[in-house]
Amino acid sequence: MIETPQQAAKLIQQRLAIYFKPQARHRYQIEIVNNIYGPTYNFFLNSQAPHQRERSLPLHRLQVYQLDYLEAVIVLLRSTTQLTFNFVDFATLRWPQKQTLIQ
Amino acid sequence: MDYTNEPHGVFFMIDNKSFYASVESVERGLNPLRSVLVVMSEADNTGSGLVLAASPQAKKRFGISNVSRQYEVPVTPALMVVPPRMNLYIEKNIAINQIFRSFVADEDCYPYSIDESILDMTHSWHLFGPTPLAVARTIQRTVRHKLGLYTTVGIGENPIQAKLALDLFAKHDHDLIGQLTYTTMATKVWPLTDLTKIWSIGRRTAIHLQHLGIHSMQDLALIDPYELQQAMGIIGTQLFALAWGIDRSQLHEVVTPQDKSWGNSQVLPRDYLKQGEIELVLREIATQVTARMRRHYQKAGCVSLGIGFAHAAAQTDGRSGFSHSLRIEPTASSYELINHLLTLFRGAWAGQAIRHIAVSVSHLVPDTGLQLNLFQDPERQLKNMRFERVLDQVRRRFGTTALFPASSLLPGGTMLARAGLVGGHNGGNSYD
Repeated sequence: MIETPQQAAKLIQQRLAIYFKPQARHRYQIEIVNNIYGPTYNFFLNSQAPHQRERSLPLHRLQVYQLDYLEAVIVLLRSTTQLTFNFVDFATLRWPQKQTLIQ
Repeated sequence: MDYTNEPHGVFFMIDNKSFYASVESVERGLNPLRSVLVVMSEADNTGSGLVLAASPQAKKRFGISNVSRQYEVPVTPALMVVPPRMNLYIEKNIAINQIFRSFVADEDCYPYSIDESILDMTHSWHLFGPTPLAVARTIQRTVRHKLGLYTTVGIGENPIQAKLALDLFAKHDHDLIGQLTYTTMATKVWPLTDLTKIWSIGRRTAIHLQHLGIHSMQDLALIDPYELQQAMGIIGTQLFALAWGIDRSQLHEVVTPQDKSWGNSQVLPRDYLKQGEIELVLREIATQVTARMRRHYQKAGCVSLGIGFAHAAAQTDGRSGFSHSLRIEPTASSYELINHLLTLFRGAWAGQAIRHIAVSVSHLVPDTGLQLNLFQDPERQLKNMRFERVLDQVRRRFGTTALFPASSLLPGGTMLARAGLVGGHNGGNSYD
């Protein structure tokens, strides 16, 4: 069964609710990786405390490898979280709807 | 040495460089050779955490090795720590072997472990390049191109040479390729003095060899094989052959073990002292093992129990644990097998703190039907058998946690916590 953007976003939100426990002086960001070898879009929650090791927790792997699909998921996610989104390996790709660079 | 009658083939032993760490790097868009990353299991029984794999750079810069403990890993922002996803690694291993199968016939590709495979390229290498070395490079490039992973290749005229070439030379080679032949064994392998670096020689075997005056591979190759056999038995002759790079194994001949067995073991998350808690875990492991056995329509004629003491208890007791076996009337009943195991345990345990439990069943016979016991109600016996079959069917269809004894919810039970693990570590299903 193909996952809809709504289902994917909901799953990511649920996992974020479990893993994201804000602590003082910690930096958190959601990393989205364009994994050309999957091909998949991978979501991670990265956290970093000063002088500590960086931790990276996998949140989800989007099996639908289409930018408009990813854009829909990101729009849904942005409406529910204020965390910084960090896009990796998207080079000069642009969002299909907004036509802005993915960054 | 005359090698004329020895097998002369072309074998590749291919290993994935820091496999788990490399897969995690690729998933994060990092280059596996440049990332500084460790895969750390934080399952209950690993204490504070255990490093399952470290990327080459993490090993080089911080001296981290696989199986390092969490407290041994330096605390620095340069290092990324990620949890394991065993199912993802299995998925990648299958994908890699699929690539290998485009270079050899299916029956010539032998997966050796989660990150190693043996390819018998004897009949197919010439289809892909002018030399085996060129073909190895092509395979490396293909895997890198399709999956982003780096592979290390050992090339030999037989499987043992390929394995030695991989372990001793390829891992340190710039191109990640090592080669051995019968003629280069003496120049390349014999000078080695750290015998534990050689496949199949562990620390104890190395000590044994040193007591015999063998301090290098050359010593091993030049010793009288009959003398070595006398001192070490069949292993001695195998080691002698190893030193000369001789391996007559036929990989396509399936080795059927004389006595197959089913078993499972667990390292407990803490020291277990209470009899009730220990027996609870024992029951859980036995239930799982017997279900696997019944799935293959077999009955067991022998049960074995292995107990490992906690560190302090082992110091006091002088033993590291105990293991006992019991021959029984063949049965497939969990209830009966568990009772036998409990008898074994109660007979040998004297209150020591326990950290490891292993259960196995062997002397298997086909489960062709229930042998009724004259001294028990036949209806009851049939009902018990049907009851266990139904439990098996439900668990097979809906998962092991679909139905479980309420006792697994008591303190000490580990079954529920371990149900999502693969090979004792996080399967990662919950991340997909």
